Amino acid sequence: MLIIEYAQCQNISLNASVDKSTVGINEYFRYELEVNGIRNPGRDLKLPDFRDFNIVNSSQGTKMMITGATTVIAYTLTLVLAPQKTGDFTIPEASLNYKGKSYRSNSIKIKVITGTQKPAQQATRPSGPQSQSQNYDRGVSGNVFYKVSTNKTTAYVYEPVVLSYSFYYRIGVSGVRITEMPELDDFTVTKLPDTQTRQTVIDGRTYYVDELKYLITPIATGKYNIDKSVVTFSSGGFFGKTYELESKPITLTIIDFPEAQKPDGFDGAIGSFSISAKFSANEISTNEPVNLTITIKGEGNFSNIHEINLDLPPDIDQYESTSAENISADGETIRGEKVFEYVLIPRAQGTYSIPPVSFDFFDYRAKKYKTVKTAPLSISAKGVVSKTPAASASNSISSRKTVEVINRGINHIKPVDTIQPSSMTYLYKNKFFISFHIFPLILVFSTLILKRRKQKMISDPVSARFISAKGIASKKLRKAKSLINESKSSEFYAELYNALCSYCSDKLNISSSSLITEDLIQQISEHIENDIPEESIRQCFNSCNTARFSPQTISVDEMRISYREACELINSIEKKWKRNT
Amino acid sequence: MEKKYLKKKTVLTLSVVLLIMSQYIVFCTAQEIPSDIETKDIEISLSNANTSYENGDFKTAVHIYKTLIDKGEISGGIYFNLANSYFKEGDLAHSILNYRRAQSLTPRDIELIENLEYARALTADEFSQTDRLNLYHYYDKLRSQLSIIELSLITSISYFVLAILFSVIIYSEHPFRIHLKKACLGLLIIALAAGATLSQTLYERSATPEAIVMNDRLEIRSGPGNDFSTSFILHAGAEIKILRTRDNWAKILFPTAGSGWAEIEYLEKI
Repeated sequence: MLIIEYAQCQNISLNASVDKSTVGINEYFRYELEVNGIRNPGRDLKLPDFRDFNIVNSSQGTKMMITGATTVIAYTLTLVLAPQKTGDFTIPEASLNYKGKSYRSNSIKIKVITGTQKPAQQATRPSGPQSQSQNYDRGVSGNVFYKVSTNKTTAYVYEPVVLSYSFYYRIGVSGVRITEMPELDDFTVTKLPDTQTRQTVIDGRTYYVDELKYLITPIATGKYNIDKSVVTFSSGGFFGKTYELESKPITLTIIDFPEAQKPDGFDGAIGSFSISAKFSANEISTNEPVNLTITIKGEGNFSNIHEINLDLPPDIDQYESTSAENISADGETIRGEKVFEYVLIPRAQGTYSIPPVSFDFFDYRAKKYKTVKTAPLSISAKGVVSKTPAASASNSISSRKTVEVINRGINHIKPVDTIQPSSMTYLYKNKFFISFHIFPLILVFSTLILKRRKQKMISDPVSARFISAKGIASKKLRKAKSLINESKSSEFYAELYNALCSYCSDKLNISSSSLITEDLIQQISEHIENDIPEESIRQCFNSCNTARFSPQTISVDEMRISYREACELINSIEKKWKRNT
Repeated sequence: MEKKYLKKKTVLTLSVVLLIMSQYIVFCTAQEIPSDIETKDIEISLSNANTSYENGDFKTAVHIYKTLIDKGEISGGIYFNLANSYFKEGDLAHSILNYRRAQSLTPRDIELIENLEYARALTADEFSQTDRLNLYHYYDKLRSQLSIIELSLITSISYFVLAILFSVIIYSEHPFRIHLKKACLGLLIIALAAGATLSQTLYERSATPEAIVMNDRLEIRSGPGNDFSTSFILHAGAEIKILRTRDNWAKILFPTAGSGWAEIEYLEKI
């Protein structure tokens, strides 16, 4: 530090300079004041009076140079000045009072003329041959300007185009920000990596350039206007203020692919590509899935590379394919690869040859269509299934795809044998069917009546016997009738007698064994009010009683007569009883 | 011994009643066939119609199928084939009409559902069901899965069996009666549900019958007359509901457009 102070004391000097001595009235020029030997003069430095000029911008800095054992330090102040009128002017000297000593700079003579000072040398354009270099607005007296450009004015549809937002400056600026960008509805936009600040020479002046680059891909043909863009920035230094610059709109013409020599398989891919294909295994079992990987490498528009149709033998089933992209911006283009994976399942054993897979694209640099092909592929399928059927099936199922309906029409007519008879079509309207629904009700009511009767019989055994007398007697008579055919006279008469006794005792509610026949006949006659002669009842009973113990054989006819008489007697008594009750 | 006898008696009674029922249904269905042609003749006619269809002679196929239907051969299959023939002829309205008629007889026929959907997709007017409460929607969906014949058979059979079981419960004193009571309750619910659904379906069919627009372009007006303004326009194949009629006009409802009046002569009931 001491050494520096020493140097400062030893070599203090002021030196003023301008970048041009003749300037146009509408031009800016730079006034540079260098104070050697002092790091920062502060208030000790008195600037000259710029009465004939406007200060547009200012910046300051310190530089240090080490030469051998000597260290030289210098303070620089740069002013951007704009002349107010034409004529010859002198910028007076600047002065410095430092540690009691006074130092002065040189004065500067400036000639201000009408119009613009012609450049001494041809301007160097910053971009390529088709750059739209005029599309910028100069700001801050030509020290800052902003430009939007494309690397080409005409492109094919889907051809990547570089769109650059370039900010040129040769003075200290800060807070550079693009506040308005054009709308790019008919383009897909990909941001390219940020570039470092570079230097370029325009009109003999060195500019720093900050650039923002995008890769825009047109998706339709036509003439497109890319609207203005707006950038704002602040100039640094003491007198800093915010400026706004607009770029000029540019035009981009998008043309369609040439029709001449367009390959049949061309699907809109544009760029420069190569293709390769390989199987995940060269030998597999039948019904076992194998992956076929097709890789397309290169540079260009990858989004327009679609699934490639494979020309497969009929015994190989193809399932849904997957695709993956691995691309990145490389300079001013997109480079990378797109990989398609197909799941194939050979259904029969054998060696299958798959023709080379070809891929068509348009090379926009060569301006012609190109076709690239893979090498022929082959795979052999063995007849032995290496996996369990379940595992194989699950593999197949996982790689299945939805069946694509090509053209669905209506289902075919029904054959004659499947057309069902029409017998029941209007069953619900059938009067017989409807009327039949009354029967369940009848059934329920009948059951209710029967149930009631049953309950009555259980609760009143006398009535039960009375009611069921005829039924029991009928059963016995039927049995007796069967005995006639068997010519068993004694058994027949025993059964017949039994039927008569049982009927009468049931009707009278007395035990058949508790009464002798004569009492029974008498009581019956009383109950039926002697409508049937007692004698005939007695005769019927007696004939049965006598015959059942008779040792003589009784003829069938006689048995039939007796049976008939017994039946008639029971029916007569029943009728009479019903009448009485 | 007594119990065994009773059980045997009950089974016998049930069998007899069921036999009588089935025989009666057979008798009733036989009564209902108004057809005056022999089964063999029907088969020959159907075979001829199918051959005409397959040979591309759709007009002849339509004629034969229609003749069979006019003679009383009502069947889902014949309506389906007739609808197909109309479709192939390019008559979308008649095609949809006959698909719907077939659907009322065979509602769960997948081929029929597919064809009807396909034909509907070709109509000019967007068709969609009216939004209803979810519960009703499910009920409606379930209802549409059963034909009227099926509903009437479910109702009748459950009613008959219910009556028999009820009679057994009344008469029998067997401990098994408790289980029969549960079965009776189940049958009662089935019979009531099926009966109510059948009644509702039949009521809807008679009160608000569905119809198909047969005209290529049918102006639906705000009132029953040509002097009224046009509310909306329907095209051939549009499925509508007839709300009421007046003279030669019908008030119709189309789910997506609302209601309006149309001339009856351009509508055909399903």
